[in-house]
Amino acid sequence: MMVSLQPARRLLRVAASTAMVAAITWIAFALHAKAFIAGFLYLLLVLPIAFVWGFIEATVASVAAIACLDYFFTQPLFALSMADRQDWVALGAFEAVVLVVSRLASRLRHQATETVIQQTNIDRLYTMSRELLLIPRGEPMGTHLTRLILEVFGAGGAALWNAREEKLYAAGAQHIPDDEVRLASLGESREDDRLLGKHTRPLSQGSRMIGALCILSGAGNDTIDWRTADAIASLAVIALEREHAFLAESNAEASRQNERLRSAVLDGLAHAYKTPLATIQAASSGLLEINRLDEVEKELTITIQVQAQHLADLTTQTLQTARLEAEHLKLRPEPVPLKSFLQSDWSPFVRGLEDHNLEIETDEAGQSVWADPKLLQMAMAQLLDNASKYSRPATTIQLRVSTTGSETIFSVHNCGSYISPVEQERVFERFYRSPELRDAAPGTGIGLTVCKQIAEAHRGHIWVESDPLAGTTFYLGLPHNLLEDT
Amino acid sequence: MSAENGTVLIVEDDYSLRRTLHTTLAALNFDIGEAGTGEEALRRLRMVDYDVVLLDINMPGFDGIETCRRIRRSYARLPILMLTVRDSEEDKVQALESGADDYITKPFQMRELTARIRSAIRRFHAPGVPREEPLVVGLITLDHVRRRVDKAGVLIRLTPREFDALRLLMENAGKPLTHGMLLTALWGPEFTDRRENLRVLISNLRGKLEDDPANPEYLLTDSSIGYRFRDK
Repeated sequence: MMVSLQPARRLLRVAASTAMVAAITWIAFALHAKAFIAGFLYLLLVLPIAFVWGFIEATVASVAAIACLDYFFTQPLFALSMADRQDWVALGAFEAVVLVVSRLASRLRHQATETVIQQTNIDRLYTMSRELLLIPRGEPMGTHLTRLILEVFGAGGAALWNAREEKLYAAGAQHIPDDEVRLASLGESREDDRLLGKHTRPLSQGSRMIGALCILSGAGNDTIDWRTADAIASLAVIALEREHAFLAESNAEASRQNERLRSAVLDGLAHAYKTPLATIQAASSGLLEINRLDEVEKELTITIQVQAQHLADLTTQTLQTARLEAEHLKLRPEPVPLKSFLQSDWSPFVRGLEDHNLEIETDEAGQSVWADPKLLQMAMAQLLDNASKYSRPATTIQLRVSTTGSETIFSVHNCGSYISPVEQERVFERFYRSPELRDAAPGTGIGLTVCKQIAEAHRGHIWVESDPLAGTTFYLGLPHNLLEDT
Repeated sequence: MSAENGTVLIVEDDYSLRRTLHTTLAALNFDIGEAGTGEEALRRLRMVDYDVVLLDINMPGFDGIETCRRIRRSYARLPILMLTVRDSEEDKVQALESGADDYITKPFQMRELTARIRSAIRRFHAPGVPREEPLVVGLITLDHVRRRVDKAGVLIRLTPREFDALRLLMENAGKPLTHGMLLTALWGPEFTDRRENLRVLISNLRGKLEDDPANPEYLLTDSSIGYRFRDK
């Protein structure tokens, strides 16, 4: 780096060089030194001048030295002839030395300054990355980035375009036009204007453009070179990506909490409904139990009972879905023996079962399936309940189990209650009730949703096959390897 | 005033349910006492001799479980019937293990409630069977002294542990016994999580006692809670 000196300082150095040449001339003359000794002494003087002060001072000194050499030490003495060719050769040699030494010195000095600047920049980059890491979650990263570029690098101005937020962050006394930064995020290449000290960088993560950064360098020691600008841009990318990741994470957490809250509210509501329902049921069943009602009163009381029971079922199922949806659904799997499970008494869980003929087929006698017995029972009871509700009385309901290589498949078949292919997907949706069957039986539209959740909690699946002639079959498949994975 | 059917203490914090139970049970010839909290229940028990306590599991102050534990401390045999909600098997197990005799799930039918109350009172007032007298439920007779079990006169061969299990269940006929209670009594307190042992034992017992082991009529399952032997 060329250091431009003020003319006065340079003049002073030229005078000092001339004075030193004069001093050496006086010493050499007083000692009656021979011409080559004097020449050597002059060279000793010119070397450090060239090294420390540079080319111009050293050239002036060498011209003065050659002139003095010619005047005081070579024949004819006290005459400035410069006639001898040797004088020119000596002058040429002096100049050559001066040139080489001054260049060398200048390069060394330049490298030293470079090193200092690089060191400073590394320190500053380190400071900036540390400061960026200390920025708390939720703080706007753009504001902090531009502020840090100003504070840490002493930049004159900084502007950052965050493409995700579509927002410009600017800081510093020197204004950077908004459009310029925004446009830079569209361009692929970086720009460095050395004259203005302006560096523009598009910011991208992989192939995705996330914004642009423009920095106006400060002066002197605060000069920002292109390499540092690159490094700052990389830091900005990391910081923006980190902010983005935090945001995504907190959004996910918020939706989880939302879901948890929803379940808690549903849970609370269901509980709140239960006590009055229990009272209504106690009162209406009490009236029937006391048995002092006439026929009309009895009929009306039974209506209260049936409807209260329906409300109670709805509440229970709402509570179950809320529980199943809550994140903390605890599966307590154990081996459930297929035969005794299927042959257990379903009538307490399935109200309409007495009116039907239940056929149980267990080819897989002696085998068992890994499942949460309570949840599995809940799912099967629901499927049986649906089958008994939607098929005509006195028809047959078939409960079957079979095993494939990877799973145990339970199935519940009933006659009729055809479900069209369009509806086959929808029946598992919460609160969905088939328009054709809506009036056929009381229902809540939650039961199959519960079954689906239970199947999924076991990493299994549930599906339905329906045919206008053959009837409707619901399948529940549970994987064999549930235990290995959990 | 002497009630035909017995005296019932209703411990329930919800006023309307308490009143409804009171009115209905009174109409069905039970003598009724009411308490809105566990503390009040304990006070009333000191004043009146009740035949059965109907105890709500969820109450402010000290809850049903704690109340049950305190009642049990002073009244070893007094029948306690817990009013629970569905889907709270842990609560039911906890209630039984803190001394409750039985539980009934809200919402309930009055017919079922009165049946449970009557059965609890009958057990409470049943003359204590001397230990040497055989236990009889249905066709099954268990003789402590000779360690012999027969069904309709036909001898049934049981292993010692099967015999102990059957005796425990028959001594508590009508009462649900939790898995934990059975495992502790038969294997020891360190075996409370070995349900598989119990399942095998019960399945063997059913094989020997029941006509159709898949549809037991004596040794009944209380889903997720435990087992109970048929009453009467």
